[in-house]
Amino acid sequence: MKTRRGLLAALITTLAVAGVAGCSSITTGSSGSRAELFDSVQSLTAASSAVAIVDVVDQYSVDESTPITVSTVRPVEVLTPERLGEASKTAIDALPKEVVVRQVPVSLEKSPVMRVGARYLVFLTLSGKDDAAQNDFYVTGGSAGVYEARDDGFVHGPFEEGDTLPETLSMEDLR
Amino acid sequence: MKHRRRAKLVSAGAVVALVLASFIPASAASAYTKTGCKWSSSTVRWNGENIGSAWSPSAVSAALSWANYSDVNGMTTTSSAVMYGYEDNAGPSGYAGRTTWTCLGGAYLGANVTINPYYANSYNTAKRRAVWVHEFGHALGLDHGPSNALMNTCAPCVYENYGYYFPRPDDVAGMNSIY
Repeated sequence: MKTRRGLLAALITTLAVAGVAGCSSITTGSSGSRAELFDSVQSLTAASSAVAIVDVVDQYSVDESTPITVSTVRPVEVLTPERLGEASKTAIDALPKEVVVRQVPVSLEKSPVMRVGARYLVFLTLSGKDDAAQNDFYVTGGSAGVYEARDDGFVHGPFEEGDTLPETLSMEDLR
Repeated sequence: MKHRRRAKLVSAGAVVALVLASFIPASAASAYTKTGCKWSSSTVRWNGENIGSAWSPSAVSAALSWANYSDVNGMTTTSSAVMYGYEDNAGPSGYAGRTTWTCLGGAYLGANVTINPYYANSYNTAKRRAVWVHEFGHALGLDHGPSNALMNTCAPCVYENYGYYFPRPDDVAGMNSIY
């Protein structure tokens, strides 16, 4: 009887240790405070330096205090909607063959970063990394300014709480 | 007969009330969400020695405010802590502050709390404190909250809209549900 109890205790201990050490794994997470929220395409446009349809051709991550995902994209079309750059006075209506787009990754459920091989409509803000550079941008408003291309337009991924932008956009919305 | 009719009316009313209640959202006072991780003790220390003098006062007062308003203890800065504060000019990333962490089985192993001077340079001390309170909230276990809480997605917006720069009742309720 004692032996059976001892075996049972050993089994429970083993399972408990396996539960903590074996089945649990270290996870990483991040979250943060947006500087601004957007309630319309007009306000998003006004805060942007450029609006473009782009293809993502390369991507890497920079693991600094604030992790950044850096994508190399090829502009397919540069759009010049009204109010562009109104807030920053940095409107750009032409982009080089390749530009860099930086994103602060939010959790996957809330707002996935762009994927290599996919096409997006992006609202861009000059990064200011180099005062003269016109090829280095952040996505305007963190996750707000990215719509993925679909057959019949552009679709936004999950929104961060507080942004009240349209879930889908068409080219007509951007003229 | 009258009694039966009244009883029927009362029970019908109760059913209607129950149905209506199921459509009413939970009160804003319980709208907090959690990261799913917490520190093993409610006495939490952090390391602020990397924060510049321009940012330190707002960071220290923000950290202390969690101890003053909630069941979190301490929140004083010490070099041996595994929660670090920084100012990190991340440029126009869209984020005024950012917190990253590692977690094992629901327990925080470490956390970095940052403020982004690109935006916060133009903030007054109270607005900077609002951002720090938000970021320390993440580092202690809270995710985003309702529009009138500092754990709202946009802490600077909460300061602009309401003038808040210390934990609000929903923030405190969320934190007290963790520690």
